[in-house]
Amino acid sequence: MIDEAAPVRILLVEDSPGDVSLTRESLRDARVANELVVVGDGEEALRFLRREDEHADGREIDLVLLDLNLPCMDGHEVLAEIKRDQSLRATPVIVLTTSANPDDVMGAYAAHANAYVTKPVLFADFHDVLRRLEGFWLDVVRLPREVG
Amino acid sequence: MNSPLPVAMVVDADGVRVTLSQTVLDNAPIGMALTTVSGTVLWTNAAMAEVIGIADARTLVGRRLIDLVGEDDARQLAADAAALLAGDDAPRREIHRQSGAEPRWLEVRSSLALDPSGTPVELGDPAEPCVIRQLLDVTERRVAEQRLAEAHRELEERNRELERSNEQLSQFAVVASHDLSEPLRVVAGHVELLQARYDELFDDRGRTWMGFAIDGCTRMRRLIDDLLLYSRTGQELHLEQVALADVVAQAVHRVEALIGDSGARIEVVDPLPEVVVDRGALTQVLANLFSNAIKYARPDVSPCIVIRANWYDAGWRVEVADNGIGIPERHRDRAFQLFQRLHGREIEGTGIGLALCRKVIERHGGTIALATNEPSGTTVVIDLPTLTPTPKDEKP
Repeated sequence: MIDEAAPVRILLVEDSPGDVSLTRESLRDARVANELVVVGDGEEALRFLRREDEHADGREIDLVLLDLNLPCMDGHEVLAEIKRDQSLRATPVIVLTTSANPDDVMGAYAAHANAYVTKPVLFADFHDVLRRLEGFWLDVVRLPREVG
Repeated sequence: MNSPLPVAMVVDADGVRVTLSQTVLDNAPIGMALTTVSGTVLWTNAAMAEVIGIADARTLVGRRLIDLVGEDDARQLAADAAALLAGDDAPRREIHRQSGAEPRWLEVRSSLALDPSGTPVELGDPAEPCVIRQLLDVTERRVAEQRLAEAHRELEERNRELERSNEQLSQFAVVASHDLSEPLRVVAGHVELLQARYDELFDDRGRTWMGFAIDGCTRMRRLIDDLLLYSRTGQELHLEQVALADVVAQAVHRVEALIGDSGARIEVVDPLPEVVVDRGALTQVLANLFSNAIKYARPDVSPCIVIRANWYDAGWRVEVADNGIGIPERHRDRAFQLFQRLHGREIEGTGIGLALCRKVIERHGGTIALATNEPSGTTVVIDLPTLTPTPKDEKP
């Protein structure tokens, strides 16, 4: 069992610095202690999760926030790769994207995304959505690492 | 010699024998000729001259009919004669006339020439079996058919182009709104963060400017949402037969809050017909019209909307009349353009309502126009052509 006070480690896969900043600010107010790690592309996200190359001494991740619109390897491919990987598939992946496209939503769930969230445009709404995500994923649910 | 040839035809009408003289045959709208199997013309009616494109049909006698047509057609006519001799039927044939000023299409029917007892006649020198050829000039019909086919092809091509450009347009709108949303969220989010976290560092002027920035973002958000709505609405119609009264009721339900706040009255002039439409899209249209009628009410006059439908020569004309401020005639065309607004910011909206209505109605093959509802107000006139087949008609 991990220390109750140990922060929940979140990997944010997002290439837009502006969006990173908004997510970071929203999570800063979180009630549950958390640690946000940011990577800007899909391939690096996989290296981080697998602790390869420059991330060989990286830490275990509890929750992934995944944007779909990423350079080179897009979010759908990253998601598929995570869920294909025996050692990664237990890690919850929340798709956090601007897209409300039905194909994106269905595709993400078909690829075993744990949740699909469309980012609201207004910050107040965005903040509210992250508050609720945090309330559920950081507070309500039991994450794999807590029982592993 | 100008006197008619002593040829006649006897028909049996209810047991009475009637003789059709050469004059009757001459006046027939088709060219007729009796030829030997090898093609020599023995007799022809006068109408043949026009069909063949010569001055006098009698000059044909002694000539070979098949010399007047192309090689392929001649071969086919000869084959038909051979088939008749063998006891088979000859098909209806279309040939190309080579003689005369311009090429014409002729339809030819061939049959074996028989004597009154039903035995094939043998004429000429040396005597041969004979065939009767009946020729009809079908050039006008063929030209019309060709033009129709041409027009059809053009229409299909234009339809394909239209579908392609529609598809591209809707893709463009989806991509544009999605890709516009991302930077907008970053701008709006950070201005809001500035307001929330650093408000005390700004003076009044700075706060006013932040307010403008946030208002701009909110407006941009609405425009993007509406653009997306516009591109999606009516893109694919699911036509069904519905009672217009039901659609009106649904649309009223959708603007219930507005009606409640304004005390608007909505009156339906009975009866409303059944129409073949996309229910969702038409509901949206009527809800937009109701909402406009209420938003653009005259001050101190509670809004009243009257809906009626009348049959016009090609379908149903649906009128939605209000007692609002009306739209001056010079602005009526502009009112239907996307994001066109005829009023200041004091009335909320991006200017998508009527543009969306027009798109939906035009996708139904109809038209939408504005008229004055005397003494004051607007009448929106929607002409919905009858769309066939209706689901009810298909049922036995």
